[in-house]
Amino acid sequence: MRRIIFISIILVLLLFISIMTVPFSFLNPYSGIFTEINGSNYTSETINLPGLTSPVNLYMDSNGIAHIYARNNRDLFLAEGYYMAQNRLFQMEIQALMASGNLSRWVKSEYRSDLTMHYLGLPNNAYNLMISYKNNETRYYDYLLAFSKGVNDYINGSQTPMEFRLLNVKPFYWSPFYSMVWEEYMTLFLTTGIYEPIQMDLFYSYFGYNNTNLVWPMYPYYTHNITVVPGDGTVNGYNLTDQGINPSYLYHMDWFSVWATGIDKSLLKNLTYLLRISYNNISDPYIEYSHFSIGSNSWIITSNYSKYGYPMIANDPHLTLLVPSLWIPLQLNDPNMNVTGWALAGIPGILIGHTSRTSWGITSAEGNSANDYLEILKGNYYLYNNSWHRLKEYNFTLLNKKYTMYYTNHGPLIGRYENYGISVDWTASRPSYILISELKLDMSKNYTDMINALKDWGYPPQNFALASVHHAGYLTAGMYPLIRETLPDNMTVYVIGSRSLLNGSNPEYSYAGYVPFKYLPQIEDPSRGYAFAPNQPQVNENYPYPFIGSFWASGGRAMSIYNYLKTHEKMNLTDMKRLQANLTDSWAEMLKPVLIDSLSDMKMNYTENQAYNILKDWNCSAEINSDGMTVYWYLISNIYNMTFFHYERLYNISFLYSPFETSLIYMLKNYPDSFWFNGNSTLIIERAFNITIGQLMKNLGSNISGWTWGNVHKLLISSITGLNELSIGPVSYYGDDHTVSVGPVPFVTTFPLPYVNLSSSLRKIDIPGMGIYMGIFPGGPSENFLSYYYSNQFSLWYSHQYVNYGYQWKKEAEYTYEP
Amino acid sequence: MNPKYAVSIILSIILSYMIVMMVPYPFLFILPGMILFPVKNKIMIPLSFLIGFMVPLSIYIIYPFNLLIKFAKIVGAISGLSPFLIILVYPLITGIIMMLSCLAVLIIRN
Repeated sequence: MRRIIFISIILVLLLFISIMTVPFSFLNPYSGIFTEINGSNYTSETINLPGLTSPVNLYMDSNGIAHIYARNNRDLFLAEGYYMAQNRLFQMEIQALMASGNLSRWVKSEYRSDLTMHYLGLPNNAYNLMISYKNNETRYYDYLLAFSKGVNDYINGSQTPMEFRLLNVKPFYWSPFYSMVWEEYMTLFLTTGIYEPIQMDLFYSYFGYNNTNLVWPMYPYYTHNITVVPGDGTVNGYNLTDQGINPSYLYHMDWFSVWATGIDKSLLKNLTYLLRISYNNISDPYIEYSHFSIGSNSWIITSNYSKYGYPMIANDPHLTLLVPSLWIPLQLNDPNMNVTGWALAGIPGILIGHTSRTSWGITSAEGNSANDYLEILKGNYYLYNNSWHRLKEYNFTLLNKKYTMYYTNHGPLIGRYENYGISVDWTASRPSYILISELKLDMSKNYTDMINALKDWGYPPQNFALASVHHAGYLTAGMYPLIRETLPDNMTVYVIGSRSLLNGSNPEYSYAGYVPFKYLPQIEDPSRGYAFAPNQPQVNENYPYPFIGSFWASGGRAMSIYNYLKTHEKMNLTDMKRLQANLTDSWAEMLKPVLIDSLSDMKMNYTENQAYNILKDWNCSAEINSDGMTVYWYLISNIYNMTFFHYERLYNISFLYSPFETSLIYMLKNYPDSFWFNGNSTLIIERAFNITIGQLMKNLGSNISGWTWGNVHKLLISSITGLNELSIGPVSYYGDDHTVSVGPVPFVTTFPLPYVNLSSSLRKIDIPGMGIYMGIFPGGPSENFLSYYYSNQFSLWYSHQYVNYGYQWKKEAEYTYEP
Repeated sequence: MNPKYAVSIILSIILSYMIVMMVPYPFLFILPGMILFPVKNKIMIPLSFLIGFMVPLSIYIIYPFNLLIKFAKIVGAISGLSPFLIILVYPLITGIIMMLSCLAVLIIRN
């Protein structure tokens, strides 16, 4: 009997263990998750892809750049889709879910980001765009289908990638919708005019017109001489003066007035609650930094200014850095196309790259391509042109809960309170074929081809740096919606955007067309030999379509580039590289003397005196081993804390963008007794210095040699999975917001500073006339964290080195895709 | 060694390899445990655990050691387990299953 009981116990135990250990099957050493180790690097193989019409060859070079050779466009994009899925399927799918407002499908609790996407209408826009391709651009829709088929062939024919298994989710089938929705998300990231007018209205509501104009001038201080297009703003012979309008008069008017917005100022001041909830609704928790921190650098050198007699081009777009990178390096080759560069994972073609005779780069062109409207609501109706119209409903489900978004004629309602709401009219809600533009660039053979390709570029407006064998220049391509404004003197003018909400009930403030292509900011072969576009104003004040909703970057990087280029005639390749690695903070060069002057009479202790001398001797360069940079950064952070941030805290509006240092410099020089400085800027600076040195001593010790920038300023490239173990860093990092080699951090006084997570997402320097193409990006093609190609280009990127993106490369592996 | 012992041990090892390479689930290690029934009592239990533990553990030699450790560290960090446990947990499970299976056979046989 005892034996039977004993056997029974053992059998029950066996049964229990057998059942309970089934979930551990993923740890099977032969067939479980460990198999990823062997698949982590590239090995030559032949793969069957039934959708192909001819064989396709893919060569992986030693730098991790894939070279795809096909016999026609369709096969090329199918192979590109397969290759991207092979290397980035998890990234593509999680990005697509995030952009389509469906992330909660995988991350059950995450619906906040999903709601934001629906508030802004991204899934709806993407769907409409896809249908528009299907109905109107069948050739390109076929490319999108081929790309999707390539992705799905990979899903069907391969083992589910490790990231899916770790998160216990399954891949879904790709479709053109997901490529479109990711394109929309990237557009959102780079659009001006959705968040900014709300920010400005809140600032205006609490601080009034004079302060708003002082802190946030239309053109950031000290940027008038560094526009993308040199000169007074005249484009193709057309300007504002020709329309009988004095630019000085126009830019010095109060554009928050009722004549400009259709909204009474007293009403605007009563809308702060609506402004706050609307802003909150469209604040994606995954977009941590304000749009003012998003930037990019590019410059072009004409053949006359180049040592080699051929144009040169440099570009480094600043985006959130992730592993894997948003970019994937590729060469696409077929009889119609031979392009090398970087594609956005999930979208066919190559966005930034070069052919054998052309090269192009992209930076964000500010200026509103969206505007916010104040709507008058009654139940499910909104007022427009003196009559009531029914709000359009858009329904969706998240985590089994039904939601409804409402649309006016302008766009989605992002917030509603009592009888008012705010809607967004965003150009991205109208189908525009930027993929066609991209693919035409990929096929370009000369400068004119590139200009013609950009006629299809819709949104977001971008500064395209262009270089061919003999020409170089800029074109700000894209849709800038125009608003017809009647000035107080009854003159009418078409302007780009608004600084404030516009009256949505009054048709006068709805869009009245777009800036014609001919008059978009542009310059070809500038006579001074160079041009540059790191997000500063594109044109000066005499531009025929005034940028009222401008919201440019402060221009610090533009100033550094300008100062470098004007002193380097006959630029060579080394000069180009040095400029891309430049760490001079031009605004610090202006602000430091003001600070030193204010501190000159301060009674200091020994350490304060040492720190003062360090600051005084500092060369305004944000190098890793610089102690002056550390003193400077914490000092101005404390000044911000005691001035701008102090007042923003009072009104609970600390989420507003930090005013530019240029505004601080201007105000310190011209209004030292302003209320922002509590009547005495010297006292504020002395007090801030005292606090700063106390903080530095407490956190970094009294030995000043340890106060290096790299000690407090660090880079962290987070994994898209959110797992710290898969991230790169943290590592000591150089640069700040205004250095060409950028490393932006907010004005805070934590130790260390918040990790830099936004910087040069790639760097390229090309000389098409000489066949020189160099590039680098902080990652690799693979999302497999075990692979050498997970981060193979990171170290070189970190040390400002490059790899060859040209036509000579060493083969590492070869894939043959057979039909 | 008794030839019967040797045959049953070899068969058990072969079957263990076949199972670990063909079936992801650990519970099938019940079978190679049962094959050990001719082996004498005193070595049967430790031997069964040893085979069940060592067979899956030996599979790891197909992976580069540095990558195996890196991978285990990352999976361990994700799951909140020690990297060594990540590597050892599957062999431990199969070892225990095989040992219990053998124990059942032993009791029945005696």
